[in-house]
Amino acid sequence: MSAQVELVRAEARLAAREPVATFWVVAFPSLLLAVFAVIPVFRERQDDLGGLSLLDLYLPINTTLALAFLGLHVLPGALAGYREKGVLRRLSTTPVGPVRVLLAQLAVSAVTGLAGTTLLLALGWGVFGVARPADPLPFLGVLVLCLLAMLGVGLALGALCATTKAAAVAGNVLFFPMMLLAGLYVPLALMPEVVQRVGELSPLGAGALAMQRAAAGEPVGWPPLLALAGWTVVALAVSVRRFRWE
Amino acid sequence: MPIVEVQHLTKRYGGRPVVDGVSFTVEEGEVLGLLGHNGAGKTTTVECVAGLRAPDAGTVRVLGVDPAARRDVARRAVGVQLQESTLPDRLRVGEALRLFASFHPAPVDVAALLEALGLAEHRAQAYGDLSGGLKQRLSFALALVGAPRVAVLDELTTGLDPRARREVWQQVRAVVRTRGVAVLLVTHSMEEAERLCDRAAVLARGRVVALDTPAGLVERVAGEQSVRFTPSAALDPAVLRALPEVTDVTTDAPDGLVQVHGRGELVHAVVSVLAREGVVARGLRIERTTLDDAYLALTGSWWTAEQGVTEHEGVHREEVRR
Repeated sequence: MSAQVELVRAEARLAAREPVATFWVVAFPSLLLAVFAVIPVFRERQDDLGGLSLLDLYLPINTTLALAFLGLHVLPGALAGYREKGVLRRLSTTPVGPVRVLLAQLAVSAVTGLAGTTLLLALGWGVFGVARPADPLPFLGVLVLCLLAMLGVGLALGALCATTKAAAVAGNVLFFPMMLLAGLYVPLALMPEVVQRVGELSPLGAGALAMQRAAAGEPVGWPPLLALAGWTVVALAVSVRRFRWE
Repeated sequence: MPIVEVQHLTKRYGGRPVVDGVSFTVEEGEVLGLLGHNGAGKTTTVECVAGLRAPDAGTVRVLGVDPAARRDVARRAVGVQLQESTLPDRLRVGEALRLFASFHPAPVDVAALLEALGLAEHRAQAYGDLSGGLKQRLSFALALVGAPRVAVLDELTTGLDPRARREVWQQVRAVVRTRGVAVLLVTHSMEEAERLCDRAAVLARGRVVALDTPAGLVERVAGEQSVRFTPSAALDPAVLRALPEVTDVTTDAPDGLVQVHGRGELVHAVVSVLAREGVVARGLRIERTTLDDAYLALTGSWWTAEQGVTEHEGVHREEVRR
């Protein structure tokens, strides 16, 4: 069997055996959504939210939460760990080289992220009665863009952080402001104008905003899409320039 | 043609030469040891052979090609076991071997390799749960799974208990014998060098100070042995002095202890004479220079006596020509 397939299988097995990381991406955002869903005030439609409920706003926000765990914790931790433990160095002495290990790691991370967000959407749209867009394609398109941006951020952090400890610190430091700008603590629409503007350009803020617009059937608009594309490109450029195998 | 050919290899870090004009060759089926203190340049040398680093000067050839320029050739031809490189903790032994086998165009039979290295019963164990000895054995297996022509083993048995160490040595010998692999073995252990290496290069401060068989290295430093015993009957020292192997005989009057110094087949010569004279050697003790002594003498001279440098450079040049 081809080395790439074997590598993806090995990474998938390892991910399945590392349930703590998977929990935060796959299970936690859905659990949080379930908690919100049983709070009555979250289900009430509110005029100052444009007739939407808080739960409607939180489905996209929780989606970005799953991607935040993936891009800020799981992926950089795995990459820094591979470097720290000499796994990449070990692989650079074999004919596959280490690049394909990164591809396998990215593939498994992408699948984990998609699993978490799919579960979330199935619960939100299917069980908790969150307003579903008539055409889900723009929503899913933004979701994929946001996933790519966060995979890029994860790669970049994995490239910049030499050790798992550094990666954990960086992930924790970035998590709070990035989720704040995505509206996890207070919906972005209720925050000061300046914060809203900055939030729209942050990877998770742009993602949450674009998904909220898509869910409401409004046009997504170019700014959040360009922001997501920009973050992806910048993150990949940083990864390529700064990545060290050992 | 040697499988590995290193000539005047030089590698600098921050202007300081870590490897400074190292030359050696490794033939098919040969185990060449690299001995030396920490920082003597051993690991950097093998990393250049594996193509992980490019030399600043000099040439490295593996199967006739430059491994740093042709990484693809080096990765296929050279199986590497490196220090401080591990596997994910939760990857299992069997999975790791099958994974690494999939990297190579013509891997060896994984089941047979597991069996041969005594890993078969541990195939379902996670890497993180393995003992040091099993980790080293797995690392060795991963270096061999691609059926390489060259195996680079960096401190293969460091940190193993004596029994595990002996087992690994046996396995290395078996592999060299059955597959004809050329092995480049980095080691601190003189015992390991003595048991495994056909030849050993002693490195000090980035230079080869001696390159010879382990016995030859010992011979070079001392060549001097001594035999001590208490004769059962009076013995004329002149009989012993007459032997060509003997350089000196001293007797210790009160208890009759005789000490014979010499070279070559000294023990055999002395014992033969004693048998002829009808004398039994009581409490016979043989003292000879060990590889440990040779190593310390060869590497120590670099640190202590600057005049020793030229002498050893002479040795080095002679070895390179050979």
